[in-house]
Amino acid sequence: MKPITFPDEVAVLISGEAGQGLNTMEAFLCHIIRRHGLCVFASKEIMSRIRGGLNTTLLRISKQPTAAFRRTPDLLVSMRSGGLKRLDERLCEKTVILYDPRMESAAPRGNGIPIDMKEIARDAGGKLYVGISICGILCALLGIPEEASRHEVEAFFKDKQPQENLAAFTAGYARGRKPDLLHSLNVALQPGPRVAGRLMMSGSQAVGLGALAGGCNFIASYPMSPSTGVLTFLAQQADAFGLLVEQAEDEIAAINMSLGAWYTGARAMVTTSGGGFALMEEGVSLAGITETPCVIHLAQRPGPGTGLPTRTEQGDLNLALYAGHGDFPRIIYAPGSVKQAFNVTRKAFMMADRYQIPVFVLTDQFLMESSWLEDNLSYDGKIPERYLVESEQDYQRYAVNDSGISPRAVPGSGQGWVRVDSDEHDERGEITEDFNVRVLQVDKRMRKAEGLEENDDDITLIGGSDGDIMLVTWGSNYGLGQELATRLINPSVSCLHFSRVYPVPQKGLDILRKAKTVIAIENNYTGQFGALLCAAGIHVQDRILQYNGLPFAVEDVYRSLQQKINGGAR
Amino acid sequence: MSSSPFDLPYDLDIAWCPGCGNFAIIKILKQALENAGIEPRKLVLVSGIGQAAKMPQYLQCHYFNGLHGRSLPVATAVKACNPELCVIAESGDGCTYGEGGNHFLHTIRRNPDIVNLVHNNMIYGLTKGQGAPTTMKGMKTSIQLKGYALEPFNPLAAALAMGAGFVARVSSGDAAQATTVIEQALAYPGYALVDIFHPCISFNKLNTFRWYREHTDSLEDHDETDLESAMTRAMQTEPYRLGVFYRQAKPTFRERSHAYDTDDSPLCRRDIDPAKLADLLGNYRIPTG
Ligand SMILES: Cc1ncc(C[n+]2csc(CCOP(=O)(O)OP(=O)(O)O)c2C)c(N)n1
Ligand SMILES: [Mg+2]
Repeated sequence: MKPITFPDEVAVLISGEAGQGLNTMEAFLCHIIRRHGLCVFASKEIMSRIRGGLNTTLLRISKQPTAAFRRTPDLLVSMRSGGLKRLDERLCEKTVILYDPRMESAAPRGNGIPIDMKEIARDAGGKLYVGISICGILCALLGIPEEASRHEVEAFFKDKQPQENLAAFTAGYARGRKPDLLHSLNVALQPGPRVAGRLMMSGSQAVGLGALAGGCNFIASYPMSPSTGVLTFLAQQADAFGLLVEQAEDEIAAINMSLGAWYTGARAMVTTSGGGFALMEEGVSLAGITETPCVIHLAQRPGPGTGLPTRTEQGDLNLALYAGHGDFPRIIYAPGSVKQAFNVTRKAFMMADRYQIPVFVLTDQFLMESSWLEDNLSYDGKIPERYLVESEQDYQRYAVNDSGISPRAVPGSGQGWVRVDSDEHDERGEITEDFNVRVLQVDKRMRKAEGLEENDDDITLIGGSDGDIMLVTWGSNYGLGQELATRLINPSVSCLHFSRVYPVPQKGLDILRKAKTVIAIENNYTGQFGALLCAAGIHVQDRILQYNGLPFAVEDVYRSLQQKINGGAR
Repeated sequence: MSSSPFDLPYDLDIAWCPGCGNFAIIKILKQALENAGIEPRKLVLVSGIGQAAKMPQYLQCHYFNGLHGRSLPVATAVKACNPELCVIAESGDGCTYGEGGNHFLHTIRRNPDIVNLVHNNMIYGLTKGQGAPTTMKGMKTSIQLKGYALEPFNPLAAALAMGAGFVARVSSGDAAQATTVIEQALAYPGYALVDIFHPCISFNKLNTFRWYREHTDSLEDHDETDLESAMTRAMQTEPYRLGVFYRQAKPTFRERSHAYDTDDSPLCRRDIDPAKLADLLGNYRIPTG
């Protein structure tokens, strides 16, 4: 058999059941491969259970960075009995499959290479160490020198059974050098200096770091996948950064606590997912009328109801957009990379404080739980600006003015009274049922919407603005759009990504107005962002939608776009 | 009328019915605040929605008049973020024990240093007389046409069971006792519940001024640190006991949250240390060489 070669990229899919240490394998492999000088993008796909089931992690190992999902791997490692059958539709004839014949009822179609999974880690300590043995095999295949990788194992596992892990890794590495593997696979990826010095992090970490940069000092939330990572991250940073982290009794308490915190001048955030956010809705409305700043991180998963708790979707844009009774302004950011996640979360605090409105950071499981590479986050080290005033004797919390932004004071500083009211109120903040005052206050609140600052980085254009086809993506499909636009080498295809989806940035609308064909790519059933564009007068000719709980696979979208392009040319 | 530092310097259009028990309570509250030496500019009243929840509108103080049922989480956070403030969460029985029931239980577990004043008129006043969690069995309302059928919620027993460190009940009809007890609640370092019996003259024809006078009596021969005795008395109905049922020091939310372990400055005035964050970002960098 001629060795299969991978000159630019090898996509490795590792599958196993919950409890087999897939997370550790992913973290270790990301670490060691990146240190070796190759790019890795890792995304996981897990079942909603603690033990058993079938989970996978996909590692795209490449010379140039990638940031999108692939359905069909080049190499599959199956660690669970019966795994091949369950993954069949993700495989093709070319996929090389490392599997244990004793765990499968039939040999795989394509290139199967049997591995004795039981045996491989037996001397090292048994089945707990199969995962690290597999890591050994992969490191050998990738050509990571044995000596260097052994050092990495020792450092990585220094507090976690270092001897057993090292022995298991070494056994795996030796297995990876055996002729059956070595001669059938040629992973000729040349490492380079392009990875060193870059940042690797998950979306959860990026949102958490962005919150710290934005001055977050209070977070109250209720656990819900996939938003919990942010809460966990901030809990770990609480001591170092002097913030208060509280697990609330429910999401209703969480958002009300956050408003209480902002009322005193603290900077609070809540992190939640669709169902939890649904409980916060009245609180969003409260933020609207009391003009209390509010930062909401909403990490989407497929709904309705409990839906698919551990999977991904972009189905909650409408929820964020229309949440809360009554009219009031809001902003919704939807970052698509860890850099954007860091920057928009930070900006969310600034915009919430400055305009005294609720600001959303809308993410999803794919962004939260994948491991991304980024050149840098461009952190300028500035202390966030505060938009507070010292109150005077005759201070009025809801003073009517041109901008609609009444200067915000906090209780306990200054001479005035800070009266905040969920009932309609007059300028002093006292309950009123005066129709004229009502109109003045609604107009005042809504005036803030007119002045909301837009930034250049609210949108990203990949390719030119004068092509034939403009792909539109938002949120976590940033990497997908980028890869598509570069791969469809056709200069007439470009991609416009929105990291702010509401209000839709004017600049983005201007570009779309000039585009000949607009194709919106979204991870939901109805095309929620496309509908928003239509409402703004954009003609969205076509949509590519997916709602199976997985991120878009770049090769699937590529194929369907090619069909559309060729079909269009006829 | 004697003047108080908590009087507003302008005329008010008060939304309570003439003769409402709330008029007695506002006088009691102002007096207790004055006795306790609370500075108006350091006072934040947090309320929900209902007739009771309008209290902050009629006092010279800072306030956050939030949503129905949600006074406690707001109050908890206000105190946690600025411990220099005196924070009172004040609302009705429906607001606190019904819509906000879950917050009631968990705020007690958290034990923030706040006072919780609950105007218990055993009815939904503002929405015109539907049954409340504390409505007595058998009382006919516009919805419970055949008589209210649910077991009444016993806030004192629930609070004691959840581990509250200060549990009291007073009646708006006994201003002297109510003032003293609220004063003590203000001095107590932790969550202090004061359930306030008072009549709703418009919608509760059963629990009138007279009814409260005839069916209540002060606690006697009671040791405030004896939880069992407090529980027994909280369960007692005829007469309903008034006074401080239980008082015991407990660690407050400030301590439990650890946010002030090494830094005394109020959370609301803390800034991020950019150098620290830059260091943290460095941990995510893939090392060279
Ligand atoms: C979420 C929500 N549900 C219902 C209402 C309507 N509502 C306003 S006050 C109230 C009950 C008030 O009863 P209570 O809290 O006992 O106060 P009271 O008026 O008796 O002082 C209700 C049901 C509301 N404002 N918000
Ligand atoms: Mg009531």
